[in-house]
Amino acid sequence: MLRRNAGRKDSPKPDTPAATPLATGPETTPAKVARVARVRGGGATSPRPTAAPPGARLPAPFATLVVVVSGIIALVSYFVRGSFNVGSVTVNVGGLGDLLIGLVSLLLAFALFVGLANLLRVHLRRVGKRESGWPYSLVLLGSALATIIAGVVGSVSSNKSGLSGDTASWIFQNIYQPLGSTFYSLLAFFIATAAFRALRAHTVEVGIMAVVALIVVAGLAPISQLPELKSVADLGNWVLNYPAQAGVRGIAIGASLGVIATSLRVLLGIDRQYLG
Amino acid sequence: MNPAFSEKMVVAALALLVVYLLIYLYLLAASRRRSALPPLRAIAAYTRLDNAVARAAELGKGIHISPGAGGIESGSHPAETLAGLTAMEHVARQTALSGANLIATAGEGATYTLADNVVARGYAAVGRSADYQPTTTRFVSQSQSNTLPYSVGAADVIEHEGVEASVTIGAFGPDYLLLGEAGHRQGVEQVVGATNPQALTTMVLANPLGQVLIGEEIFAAGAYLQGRTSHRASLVAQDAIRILLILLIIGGAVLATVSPQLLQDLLK
Repeated sequence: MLRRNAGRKDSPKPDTPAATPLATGPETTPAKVARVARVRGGGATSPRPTAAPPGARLPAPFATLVVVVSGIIALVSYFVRGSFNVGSVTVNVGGLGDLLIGLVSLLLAFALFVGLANLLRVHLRRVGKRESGWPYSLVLLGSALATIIAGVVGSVSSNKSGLSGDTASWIFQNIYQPLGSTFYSLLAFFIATAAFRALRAHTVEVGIMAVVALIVVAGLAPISQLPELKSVADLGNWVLNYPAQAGVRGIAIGASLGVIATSLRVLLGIDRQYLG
Repeated sequence: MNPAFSEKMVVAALALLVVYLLIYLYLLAASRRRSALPPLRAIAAYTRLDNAVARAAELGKGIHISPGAGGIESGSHPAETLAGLTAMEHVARQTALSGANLIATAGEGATYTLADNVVARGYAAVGRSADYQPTTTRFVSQSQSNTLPYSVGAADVIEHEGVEASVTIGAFGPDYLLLGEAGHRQGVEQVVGATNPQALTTMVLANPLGQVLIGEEIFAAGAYLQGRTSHRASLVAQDAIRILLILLIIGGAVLATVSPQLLQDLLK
């Protein structure tokens, strides 16, 4: 990831985006910055005074404290179950963690309502302004409304939570699932066309990919089960079990390290850009 | 009830603690001596991202950006989603400055609220709050079982909203290909990245010329796009830990070859 043995004198302040928003990336050239800035006539190097984002916000230190404390409790409760006696007080770490996770589920439900409101807003505007494809928006709004009504009426009448009731189940099984299957089946054709396009790129990586794909496909083909072609099947399985698995694990190890580093920055309150 | 510790959990907690400690030491060192941080190697995808925004502004077209269909709760790839949001913040600032239209999509309710916040902050940070529209960020769909509904909805945005580039960095599934093919049909430049191997397969197929951020590279968005010291220090720490892990793996392989019994005894 990094090239060593050289220092950069122009590093930005810690944990704040660099002062010039367009000149932040190490590979961003001054010419590029100027080109983008010229389009708007604004100054990449002299942004206007910062205005607060719309909407009410929690004070940043309080929000950070909530994130840090909640994160640490959730992390500890993952590793430690049961309760501790601290003097005369009994602290149930696992219970605290479960409570926080329950609160997250509640928040997610509210966030879904906010998302739905945005969806309605976007598509109502499209219908209202008769923008391109507005009939599809109308279909979307009608479908969403019908499914919500069917789900709510069904759950009230059957006294169960979630998507229940005959109509809602019918919609799910006879409309949603077949549509999902249709789109998944499209992927097979898209993979074929994308692979064909990739082969035309004529790079070394694409060449390797083509050879490996050929070996695996030949190994998995029914004809490779013939005794005479057993070595082809073995070679295909070997590619899948060793080089491919090694590659996947390499990606997984690297990604895990990235996840751990991200979680630590959040737990330490260093990454706060999502807090408002 | 007394606290319950399983032996495996203790080992996992200790390993995590050691990794946390190493990263923290690097963060501490970097905050004291920023100039000691090594420069970053070029990653084509991040370079193209800046170019794509510039071109969209010049052509008067839009940019689509998405952190994917992930969420912030456990099991929904929160770290990948946060990495996508980091890239989104940068793109929001650039589009706000350059005047390009921005369309941000999200495939989960909580991610949508975060994305909306990040985009609004991006516009505000460059003094262009007035240009921010509530419909700039769009909730597309939410599904607990798969990412397909989001991919279908986002593909429609790419196909019909006249965007010049699409930046999809975050939590995606193999159905990313719906977005990739929609982008290809419209001649949209794509900058993509994920950690899911199934998604990466389709991403590499759809973008064979190197605009794909593979695995850990998506977590470098803060370092590459915003030059954050903490993110750059994290990369150095990750490299150091990776070297340690490689040495451990090689040592294990040698031991398994030379003395398998000794390795088994050690693992017990």
